[in-house]
Amino acid sequence: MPGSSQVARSSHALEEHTGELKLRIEAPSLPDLFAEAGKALAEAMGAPEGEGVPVEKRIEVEASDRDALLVDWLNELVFLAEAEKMIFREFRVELPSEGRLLALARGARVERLRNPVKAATYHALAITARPQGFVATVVLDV
Amino acid sequence: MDYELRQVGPFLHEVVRPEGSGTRPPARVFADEELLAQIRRDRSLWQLVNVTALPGIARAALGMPDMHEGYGFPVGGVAATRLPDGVISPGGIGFDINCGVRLLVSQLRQEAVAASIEPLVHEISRSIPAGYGRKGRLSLTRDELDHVLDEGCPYLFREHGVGHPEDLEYIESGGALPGAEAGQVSDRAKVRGADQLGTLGGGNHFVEVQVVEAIYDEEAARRFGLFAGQIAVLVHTGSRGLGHQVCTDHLRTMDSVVRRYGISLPDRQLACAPLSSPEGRSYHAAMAAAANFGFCNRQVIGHRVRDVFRRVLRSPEAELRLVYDVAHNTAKIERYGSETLCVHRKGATRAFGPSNPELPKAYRGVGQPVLIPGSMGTASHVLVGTDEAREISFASTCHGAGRAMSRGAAKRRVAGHLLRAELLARGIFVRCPSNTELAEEAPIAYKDVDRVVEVVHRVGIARKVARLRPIGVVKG
Repeated sequence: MPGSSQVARSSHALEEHTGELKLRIEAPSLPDLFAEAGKALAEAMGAPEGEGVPVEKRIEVEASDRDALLVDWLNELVFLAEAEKMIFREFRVELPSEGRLLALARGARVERLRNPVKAATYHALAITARPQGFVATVVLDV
Repeated sequence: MDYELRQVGPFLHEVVRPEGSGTRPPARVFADEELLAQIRRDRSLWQLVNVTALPGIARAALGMPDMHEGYGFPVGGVAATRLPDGVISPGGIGFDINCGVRLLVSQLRQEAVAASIEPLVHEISRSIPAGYGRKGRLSLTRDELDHVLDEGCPYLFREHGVGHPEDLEYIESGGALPGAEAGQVSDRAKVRGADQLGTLGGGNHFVEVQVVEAIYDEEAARRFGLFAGQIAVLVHTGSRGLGHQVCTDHLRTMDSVVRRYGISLPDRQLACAPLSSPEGRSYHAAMAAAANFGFCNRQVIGHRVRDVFRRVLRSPEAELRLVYDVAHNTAKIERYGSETLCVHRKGATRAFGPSNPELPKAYRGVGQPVLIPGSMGTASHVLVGTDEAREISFASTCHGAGRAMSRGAAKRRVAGHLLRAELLARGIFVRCPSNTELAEEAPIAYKDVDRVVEVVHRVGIARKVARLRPIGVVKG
């Protein structure tokens, strides 16, 4: 996939606050940032690695702007986790425009998730460009 | 952000208006000094001030003594908007639409179940799927799910025989909010909720077997059918993934139209639209439908607990009667004098007083039962609504203890297996998927519910009736 992510240089951290979980994601490019956000979400949901039946899915998300696209992307993954019990850990992401995402996601269909995530929120949402790439924060309702 | 507060009444504090807030109504919070200090530790005051920016806000944005930081709105917040043009905001209800509480009581005293508590809790745990994404036993076709969303508990009783006929009078709004439309609930939300009717969900959701340990108001307790030493059951859960998806879907829609309606917001999570607009009406209808799903979820769980009580205890006195079922996360259209308001209650409980005509006949002249769940393993309270609350707080009061510590911090402070042993030593038998999940919901992670209740009692927005302590806990 052209423009796909270089995951090795990306990183994320889960910061816990009183009743919420904040994802802090760093990546060298925007597609990497979205891929890393997907990985961070899988970690937040606490699905054990290596369990379940392998699955692969093409995902398309559209939103009004780049920030909303990050929220909608994570909410798409939250929906797939709850409705289809699919947890994705590897992503190849393309961003053809500011408000459109195409992804090839790989993961597993699992029996049970450790931690429920209700939704990704717009609360304290930010994507910031840095000299070496991008930093984003997204708050999850857990 | 550190706000200056000035006391404007007993336990009532007003945020001194920040520069640039213009003619916005004030933000006020009910609390004593200790709860106020806890509230100041997070950003909930900032969020309450942001709420005053919503178009059409009436009188003031109010914080209850259990207020804590939420998403857009604080949890423990009450905001009323004037209709027809005032806004409705999904963030003012929250993701867990109609998270709420149901109290059922037996005629048994604690001594009668002491020997059976372990099998009782075990059987409740087996009958009610807990946790995330677990399949419930009440499986519905899509058409049946639409009826649940449109009609709520009356449909569930009429067509599926779930519950007793007299239950309906003892559920807020009869277990069916007006204006609900299944057609405004997305397919995605229906997919998420399809297998979740009758499931607890994670977090602080629980079913507890409790004992009435103290009565504060003999007359109200008598009218509610409560007596000291009585065995009761408290169910705490909401509309599950269906409600979460309704909030997600409509937040997204409102986020895209905020500018079109000329609304400027300090926080994107406060996305809203006039209730009179197509987007506002659509969300209200979907929210009401999700609330009906929440009422039905607790109806199914209560029905199963009744069955377990019959099977395990084998006594006519084990029959569970519904005292009341209240919502903690809703927006309701209510009349205050000459105004019609959309009252957003997010982590707040409706608290109608004795003169309200919507009360069940048996509670007229007393008031609406207000059910305040403790955190897992701590006391819960039954309060009663007051007529004064209409003037003071849009007939609203607190909803519970409120989190004071993150799940991770609780895990670092508490060892799950030790907590389990400690609870058992205090006479509380717990069923929980894991020790880790138990530690996350440890009592020290929550504010002091007794203190919260004391404040609302002294302010007069609900009065204390009874205190219940758990002897058996099934955690989601």
